[in-house]
Amino acid sequence: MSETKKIEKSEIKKLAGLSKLSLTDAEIDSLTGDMRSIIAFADKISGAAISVGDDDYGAARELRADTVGVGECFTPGVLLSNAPTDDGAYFILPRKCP
Amino acid sequence: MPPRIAEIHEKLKKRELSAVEIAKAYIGAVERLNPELGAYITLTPDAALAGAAEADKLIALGGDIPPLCGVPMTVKDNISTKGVLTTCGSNILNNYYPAFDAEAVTRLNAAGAVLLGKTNLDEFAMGSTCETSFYGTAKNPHDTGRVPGGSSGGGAAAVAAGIAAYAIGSDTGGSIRVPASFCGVFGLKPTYGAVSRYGLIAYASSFDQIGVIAESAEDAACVFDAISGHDPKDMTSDPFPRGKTLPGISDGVCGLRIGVLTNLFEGLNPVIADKIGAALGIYESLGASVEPVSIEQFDMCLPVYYILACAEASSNLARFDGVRYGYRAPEYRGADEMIRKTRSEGFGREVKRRIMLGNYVLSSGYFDAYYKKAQLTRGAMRRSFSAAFEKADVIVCPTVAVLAPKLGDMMNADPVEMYLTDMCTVSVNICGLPAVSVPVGADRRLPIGMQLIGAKFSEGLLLRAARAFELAGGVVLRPAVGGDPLAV
Repeated sequence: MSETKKIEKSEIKKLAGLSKLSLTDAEIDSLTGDMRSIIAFADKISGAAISVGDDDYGAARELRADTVGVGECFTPGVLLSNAPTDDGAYFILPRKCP
Repeated sequence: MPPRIAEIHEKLKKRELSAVEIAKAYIGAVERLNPELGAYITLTPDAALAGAAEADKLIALGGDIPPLCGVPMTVKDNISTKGVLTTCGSNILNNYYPAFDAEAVTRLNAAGAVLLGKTNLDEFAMGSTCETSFYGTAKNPHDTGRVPGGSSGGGAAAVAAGIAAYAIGSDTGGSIRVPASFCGVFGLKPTYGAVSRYGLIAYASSFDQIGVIAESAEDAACVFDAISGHDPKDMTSDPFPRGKTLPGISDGVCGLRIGVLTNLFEGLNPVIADKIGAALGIYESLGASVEPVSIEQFDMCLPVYYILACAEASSNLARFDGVRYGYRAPEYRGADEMIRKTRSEGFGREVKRRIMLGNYVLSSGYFDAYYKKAQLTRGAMRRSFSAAFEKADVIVCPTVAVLAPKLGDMMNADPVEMYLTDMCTVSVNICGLPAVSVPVGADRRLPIGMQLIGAKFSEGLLLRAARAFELAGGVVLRPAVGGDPLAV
């Protein structure tokens, strides 16, 4: 990473796929320019001086018990109330999954 | 000037006005001013009047009433409110009605709060200007040709214009403090874990924190005391009991050690530097000492923040797929196309950029160079702040290094230009610290904010320092739009 990597359109298409986004050709053109600028900015991290012992921020926390009733409990009807489509018991998705 | 919480409380206690009369005055002011300011996405006048009627019943019983009882307020639209539209400023949640209240909202309801509505924000809190909202741009009440700051811009504009007594916001990289600075009000970003994040729709979970925007340090303390405290529903919630901040807020700053963060004063706008310099002089006259401090690798703050926050955002926002809630694209062939079209039509440009950056830094081949390096640097910065707090009780710097930009300027600029707006604020979120933005003056009627940063769980100390400045040298910044809704 000593030199800034130039992002190509092919990489933007790949990132769009990973991000579950469909982009038009115009959006790909425009986002390629944006992402070049943003990643050049992010590349500054290569200049950070770190030493042994710096890797302690993400120290494991004790997780709370996975117990039913810690939060609120909801009926299926409540959980389905925001669904675009449901049959009263389940969320409904398109049948065809290519 | 808009009334403060204690003034409204006094009016209620002395029966000068009923809670319903106060609610009606605020609702009228919101209806008059919101078309110009765009501060609110959703108005809840029926809920406000019902809440006010409940408050009046409590007041009629006599005895003490909670300080927030009957006080009209607003909640940022990325914080869940049961049965009330909660959009996150995004098209993808244009029809989402949460089944539950955020814990902070539950606590405010128990304190008798009166909800006026849900306030505007940058989409999913991703922005520093409040211009990336799908529901239009909020405007700065001091100059409606300028942004209110973001992402909690609607809340800050509402408080500054007097169309809410206080606002609940969220702060991931400066989203309470930046708009508080641009709008000339107080903004408190609490310690990570001090206020439950249950019901806050996540952007970057290790940075996000719910906080307060208010007219005064005393008001901010009053609201913080009501919403803070342990919540078992949030595993990052601080489990230890902490004292209330309001009782000691007037104890002054005599003997306080103030560190001036030299990293942020090099090349700073001279007017902003002068205003903060004057504030430091006031602190010295009150008995505080002032010394320079610096943080190692401070110039890495922004890359660290954007790498880690976007990585977390790319994971958090994967849940928006049109299956269980929110917008779904009308035409598609198969589930995969439905999800792609839903997300493409539902998310705006800035959100797409941040999701893609997050996926980039987490990708095979880039993970060590970006994500891991940023996490390591985060640890080093945290230790550097701890060392600075050995020498200083409070660290002072600007909240923002610029004045409120004109509408559209940032949206038409390179995206990195907008990211630089957060230069003074992101380190606080990286290290999980508390900070407060205090109005210290104005340049050409545009407010300037001073940021006070403290060690973890030092909210009481920060608010005491803010209050001391407010009493000794505080400035009155009258907005061009708005005023006192109870004076009509």
